[in-house]
Amino acid sequence: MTGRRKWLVITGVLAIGVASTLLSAYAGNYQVAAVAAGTTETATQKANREAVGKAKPGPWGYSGASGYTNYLGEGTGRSPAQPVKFPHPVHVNTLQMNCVFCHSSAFKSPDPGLPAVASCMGCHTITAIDRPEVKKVAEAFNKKLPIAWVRVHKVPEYVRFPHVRHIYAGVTCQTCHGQVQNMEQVFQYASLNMGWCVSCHVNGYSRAEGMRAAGYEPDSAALTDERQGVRKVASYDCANCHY
Amino acid sequence: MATIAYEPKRPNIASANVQLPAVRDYEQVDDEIVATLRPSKAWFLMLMTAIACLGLGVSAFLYQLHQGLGVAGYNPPVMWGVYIVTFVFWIGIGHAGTLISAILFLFRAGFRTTIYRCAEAMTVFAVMTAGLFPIIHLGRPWKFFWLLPYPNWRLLWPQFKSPLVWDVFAISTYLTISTTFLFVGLIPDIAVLRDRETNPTRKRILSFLSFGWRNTEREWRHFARAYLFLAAVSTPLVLSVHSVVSFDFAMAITPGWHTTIFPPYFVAGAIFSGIGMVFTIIIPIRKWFRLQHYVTLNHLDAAAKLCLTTSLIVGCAYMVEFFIAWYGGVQVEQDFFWNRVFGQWWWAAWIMLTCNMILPLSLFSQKLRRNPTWLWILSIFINIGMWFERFVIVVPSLSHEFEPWQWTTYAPTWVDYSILLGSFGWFFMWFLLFVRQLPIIAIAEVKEIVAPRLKRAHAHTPDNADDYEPETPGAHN
Amino acid sequence: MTKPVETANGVKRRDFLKVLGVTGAATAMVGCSTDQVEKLIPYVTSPDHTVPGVSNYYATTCRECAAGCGIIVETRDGRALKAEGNPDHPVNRGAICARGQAALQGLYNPDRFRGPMLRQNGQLVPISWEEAIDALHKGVDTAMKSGKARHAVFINQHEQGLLHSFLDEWLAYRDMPPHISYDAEAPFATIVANRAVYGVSWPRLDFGAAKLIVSFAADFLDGWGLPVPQQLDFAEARGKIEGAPRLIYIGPRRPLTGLNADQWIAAKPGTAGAIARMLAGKMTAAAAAAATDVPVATLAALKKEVAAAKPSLLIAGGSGPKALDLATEVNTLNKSLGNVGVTVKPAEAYGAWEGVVPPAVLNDVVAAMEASDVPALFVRGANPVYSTPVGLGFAAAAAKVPFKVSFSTVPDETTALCDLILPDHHALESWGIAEPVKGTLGLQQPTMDPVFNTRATADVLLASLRPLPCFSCPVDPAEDKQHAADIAKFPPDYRGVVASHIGGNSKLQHALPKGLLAGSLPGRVVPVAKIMKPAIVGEATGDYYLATYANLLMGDGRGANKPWLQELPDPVTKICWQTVVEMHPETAKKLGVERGDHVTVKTVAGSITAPAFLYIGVRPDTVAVMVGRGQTASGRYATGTGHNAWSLLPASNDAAGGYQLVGVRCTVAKAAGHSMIVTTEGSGRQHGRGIARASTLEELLTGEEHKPHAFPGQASTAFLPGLRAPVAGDAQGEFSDPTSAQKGEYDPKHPSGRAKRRWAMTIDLAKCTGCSACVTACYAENNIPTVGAEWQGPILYPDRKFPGANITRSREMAWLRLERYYEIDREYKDMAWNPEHHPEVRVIPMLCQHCGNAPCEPVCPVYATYHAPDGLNVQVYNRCVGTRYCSNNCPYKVRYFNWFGYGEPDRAQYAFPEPLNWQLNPDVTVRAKGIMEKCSFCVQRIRDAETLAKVQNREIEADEFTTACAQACPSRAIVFGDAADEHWSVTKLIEDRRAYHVFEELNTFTAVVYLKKINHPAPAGVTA
Repeated sequence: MTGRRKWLVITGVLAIGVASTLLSAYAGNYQVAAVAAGTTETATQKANREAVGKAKPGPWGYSGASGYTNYLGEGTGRSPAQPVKFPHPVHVNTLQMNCVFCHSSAFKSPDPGLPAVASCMGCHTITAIDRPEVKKVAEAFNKKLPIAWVRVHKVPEYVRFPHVRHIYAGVTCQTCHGQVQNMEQVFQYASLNMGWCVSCHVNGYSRAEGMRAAGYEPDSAALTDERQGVRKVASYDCANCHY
Repeated sequence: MATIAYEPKRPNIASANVQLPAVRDYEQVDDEIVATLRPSKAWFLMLMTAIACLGLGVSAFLYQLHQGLGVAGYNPPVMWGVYIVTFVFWIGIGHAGTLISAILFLFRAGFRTTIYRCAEAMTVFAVMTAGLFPIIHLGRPWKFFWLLPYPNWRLLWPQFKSPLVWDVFAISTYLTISTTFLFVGLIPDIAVLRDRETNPTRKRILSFLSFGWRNTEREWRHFARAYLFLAAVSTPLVLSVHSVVSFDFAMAITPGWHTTIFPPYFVAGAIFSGIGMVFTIIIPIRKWFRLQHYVTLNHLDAAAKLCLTTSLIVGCAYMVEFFIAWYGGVQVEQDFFWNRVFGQWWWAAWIMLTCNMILPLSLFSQKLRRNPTWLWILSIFINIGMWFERFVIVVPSLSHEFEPWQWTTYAPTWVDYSILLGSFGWFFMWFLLFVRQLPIIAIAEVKEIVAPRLKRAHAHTPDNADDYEPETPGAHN
Repeated sequence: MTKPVETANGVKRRDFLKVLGVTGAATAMVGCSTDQVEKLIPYVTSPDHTVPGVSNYYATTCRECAAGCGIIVETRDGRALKAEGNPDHPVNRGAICARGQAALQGLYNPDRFRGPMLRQNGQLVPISWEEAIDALHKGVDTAMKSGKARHAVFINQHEQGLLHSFLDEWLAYRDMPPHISYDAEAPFATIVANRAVYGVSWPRLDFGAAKLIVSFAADFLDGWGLPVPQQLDFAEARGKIEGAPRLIYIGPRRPLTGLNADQWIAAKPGTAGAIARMLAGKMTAAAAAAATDVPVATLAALKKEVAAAKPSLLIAGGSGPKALDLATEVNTLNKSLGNVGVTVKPAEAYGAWEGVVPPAVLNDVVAAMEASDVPALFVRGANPVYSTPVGLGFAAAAAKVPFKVSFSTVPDETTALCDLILPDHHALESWGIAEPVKGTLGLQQPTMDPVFNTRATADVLLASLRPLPCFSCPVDPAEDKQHAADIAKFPPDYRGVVASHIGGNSKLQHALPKGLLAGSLPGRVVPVAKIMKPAIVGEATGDYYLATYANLLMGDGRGANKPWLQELPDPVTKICWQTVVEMHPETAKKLGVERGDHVTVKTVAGSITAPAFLYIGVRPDTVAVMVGRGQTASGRYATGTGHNAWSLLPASNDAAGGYQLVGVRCTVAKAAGHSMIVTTEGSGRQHGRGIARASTLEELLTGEEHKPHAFPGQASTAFLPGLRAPVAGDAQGEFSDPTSAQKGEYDPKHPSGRAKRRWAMTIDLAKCTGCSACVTACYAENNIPTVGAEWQGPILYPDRKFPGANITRSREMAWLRLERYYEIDREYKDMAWNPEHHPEVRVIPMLCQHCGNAPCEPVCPVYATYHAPDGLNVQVYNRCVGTRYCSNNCPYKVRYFNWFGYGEPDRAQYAFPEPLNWQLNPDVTVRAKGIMEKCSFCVQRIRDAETLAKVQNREIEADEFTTACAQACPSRAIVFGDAADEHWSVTKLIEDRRAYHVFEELNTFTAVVYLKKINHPAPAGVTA
């Protein structure tokens, strides 16, 4: 083995090692492909992809989506089928219902809360009773059984995420959950990993960006803030979320 | 090589003029040293034993991994125990190797020539062993990589103020350098093996390892330079690595740990224990492989002197510790040292003092210095003593701290002992494999001090070269 | 967050329990593998007044002892999480003891009966409630038909309330005699003497008004009488440094009250009466000295002192043949000294012991049962088979009763005998009412839906009256009509009983939020008991006296199946999970016994063999054993833990009808075997390290040790680095450069404003009695695992299994521990008995000091522990890799390591067996295997307060919230707050002249500041 080949081998090995370390450690922030690991794209997934396409970049310059898997073992774009195909677009876009109309404790509690079956029946005893999905709900209600929704968004373990704090800080729901109003079937929008959290806590959050992320134009006040570079900075102390 | 102008009654064996009178010529060197590579039943037996011990250790570790660290004999606030003790012990063992191969090389101490390969290999394997323990002793070993500074999506870095992080760097550096040093030194010898190898596959491997050594003038020049530079690089490591390890303790405020004397004290102790281990290994080897005429009593004698010196330094360090405790007048510190030597931990302390301070004094007698059997027995005591030195530093300090309410005792469990045994299995497994694959005496360097062909006529030839043991030094010169 | 006190009804709690996913998930945070699909389960119909993830608070009454303290139970998503004192309640004024905290572990006890059970051929088999009530009905019928109904026995655990009259009515309707309201813990001699002298069973003892307190064997700080109010008053009295009362304790053993006393007079068992008589002038000091074996000088001094100190407070406790004489003597003394109305206040009487029946009545009961006269035995709550002297022979007699019914919630020795188990609700699931203080009613309401298929005893009894879906007994119509007419007198259910008593449902609804209203309960005539003559003590059947005692934790044995109480070390001996024989080192020497050697204690009644424990606080002629452990069938934590001291006691009562716990003669002999002592104590003395400091009033007033450097409060060091510094995290100099842009959140100007605060705590050692209520509060709040159960430790000692194995390796996890130091200069075993002098004792709660310059922080290689801008020393559990270096470097040794997977259900060491895990605080992480944990200053409460303030758009108000330990503390010794804000009370206390830091010399700049204990030596002119 001649000297030249020898050095080639050594440097080669080193180069590969360094490259792989950096790659493995780097959390990419490229836009997500909305198709969750699956072969053919369903109508829902198509709608989702377009929804993401429409989504403006989040407050810190990217959608927060990342190829890096979080503790759920599945990454961004995860879109599990729900027991009841609840169409957010219809309720939010068409019927103009506010998020907290159903997720009522989001601004009172660490826990956003899910609507009780009874609150669905508030309307659906009158409207759209014939739809198959609505029938499912009615049936559940009559049987006094809750509906077991599949969890989509979950921060890693050992983390406290009080929704109420973020709502009071003026963070729009879509900032983390994506434009659910455009999602036929809800999918995980952000990576929800620590770097993603911290980047906002450190760099701060401007209402204008939040509004854009939510999919509507910022109001004048927000824009003035943005012009003056006003950003809401949060505490990034470890004990803020970990205790 | 230089001829000997003048023959003193007792040769200055610390000089480069180390005679191997029983070694006639290069062929003999090649034959006799390569002969050590022939496997024997005894060797297989030892290897199996080593692997068995390793197996025990590994299974104990897996058990601990599953059950939790509680299965080890920790007794809070004694939060460090056998694992850290053994870690420091093995790191210490490592040092003699580098000292002998690098520092003594720079100082042209000739007696290193025939023992340094052994010591060097010992260093590498000892550091390999030591490196395991910081991970074994973790509560969550599977997260050990959090100590490494690598970019991650948590945007977190290790705490660079923590001595444990310094350890990570110190040990990895040490392992890298000493391995390289060992390997570079091996290149010409591997070439010798390659030339004598008949099996084509092994030949290919050996020729790859020897980087296609062709024994040219140019290669020798580069080789010598490289070796010198590496020696120069490793020299500071001998001092730095164990100083850093000692910071694990010296940086803490725990009485018995919080001392400025620790770095030099640890380095001396490390070399002392290392020489001990060298004796433990080299003496059987020279006997079983009949290499007494390479590793002569002169060499052992010189090494023993080194051993004695370091032992004196260590003993002095012990005394200074006690003195400072008394002189410093910190009552907590005084309580602690009293407890260490005359209280709860008297037995451990006195094992340490006897083995490391008192017994080595016997080396003042030249008779004992030149008596391999005694040296070997002593070396065992030194190994035990040095393990206990670390035990005495780690455990009693933690068991008898500021808060009397939390004073406790400490008793290892079978898990600790198994993993300790396993570490010896791991170390000796590697060493035994090494012994059978590569020359344990540096062929090239021995050749340097063998009288060259021209002088063969003058070279003295004893009738029974194999068991050549000069009764009085220099008798045969 | 918000603390509306909710009414109980209208909330469909059953729905709560359906909600497991939503916030319940928060508690299941062990390990990181959540790959499985997680479901979110909403309500079907969401209950009123509740927001998922937000706590509701229910005011109710604690039933763990007779005191009837008011508690507020925090519930979230339908689960009771924490019991805290009700600040408005006249008895406990917001404080709560360890036993009260542990009520939750009774509620969630894994051994509770799941439903009614019937004994069929020796085995208890589950049955339906219909069958159960049927069985009860039949059984009662047979009892009535047998014609012996008037001999039927109903033993009820004494609790004040309407149940008294209700039960009696029911029994009367069944031709049965009134029930026996039994309480083995009731200090009967005192009660009777109080009734005789003061006219009330338990007057309020106003320690604050007294200049001198003399306790005649009354351990009023640890389980005697009403622990919480007594401790509140006592600590308050000691807290006002100038004019604080001096405390003298008289008794053969030195209990917690003795440790807090400035002087211990070690009188022979049962002879305290002599001292009382001497004080009354009926006896010379010499004679008293002879009787009590106390130096005459001491007694003379005592007499002078009592004469001099006005007003004083004399408290009679004690047990034994002469207990009643002692109590009467002492009470009359109080009268003659003019203390009544000043320090003893019959006007403000407590209702705790109203209607309690002397245990001596059991003598008749046992006799009747022996004679097989008793057709039916009902037991509710009490455990007479265990908690009666073995000499009484209750178990054997009870076996002769044909029909034995138990209403207990948990299995115990008594239920093991019973044929029919009709489990009652736990107190926290039931309705009720109490009159803790004359003229004030305390309400008891369910705080959550029943955990198991249980029913309120009263409702069961009512149901058993109703004509039932026809079981085998056909009733003729006429009788049936009569029957219906009779039972029409009874209200529909027990809630109705309560409501009707206070005048209707609406009134009840109105009263519930506070849990208090004016009113009173019907009195009850206490049946007179035949007193069995105390015959034992006279006979010299042994050369030692036996002094058994009950502490607050185990009580008469009712606490034994609650891991919190088992794990909490006894405040005096610091022993947990074990029963030991306490003897003086001299006694041990005489017997040739070392610490831990087994000794056999033998009385006429029985004997136990237990490890010996050298305790310098017990007379050489006395050995002491704690009752309350050694059950044989009381659930997993109690059974086989320790030894049963009741099995040493003969059936002997004092004149008042109380048990004789002290003074029984016994022999003590060395036995084979040796056990490790399960204690958390390392070295019991300070070795002059100034951890728990004390001084006297003079020293303080004369500024004796008024050295600026010694007192952080003084001007020179008023600005404590790291404590008062606005940039708390800067103590390590990381951000020392004021212009540095690297300050980040450590900059007070940072928008998060964290660095403006510096959370700190002061602990007043003059108030702290060492009762350890704070420790249990910490366990409850912070999901701290108990590690002492037998099955949690066998890995350590494969050869033997015993409770507390982990503790013998000092692996207890108590974030907050009580250290108890004797001011002595040698080990216990070398201490000689000196009646003239007994060493001073100091207790100090030791928790994470949240150092401004913490040694643990720089050594952590992964930033798992670091200094937060608001001064907290934070431990980030999920970052910790477990090098344990932080603990090595912590001078206070307050960091605790998870050696095993205490939080993992599939492990032997699992600390929260279902349903104990229902109690886990969802705001606190359950720590995983292999990581370090420690006191967090209840960071979850801090964050909650911040959130609340943010939501209400305001700053946190001064003293708005506090930590769990401070909230529970019945001495009010712990104060928590923001040391950087002048408005918090902690800020003033830090300035106190008594303030000091432990190990100041290490420059740790701790955030926990201790205030020196104050000793009260005998006043001048009195030579003690």
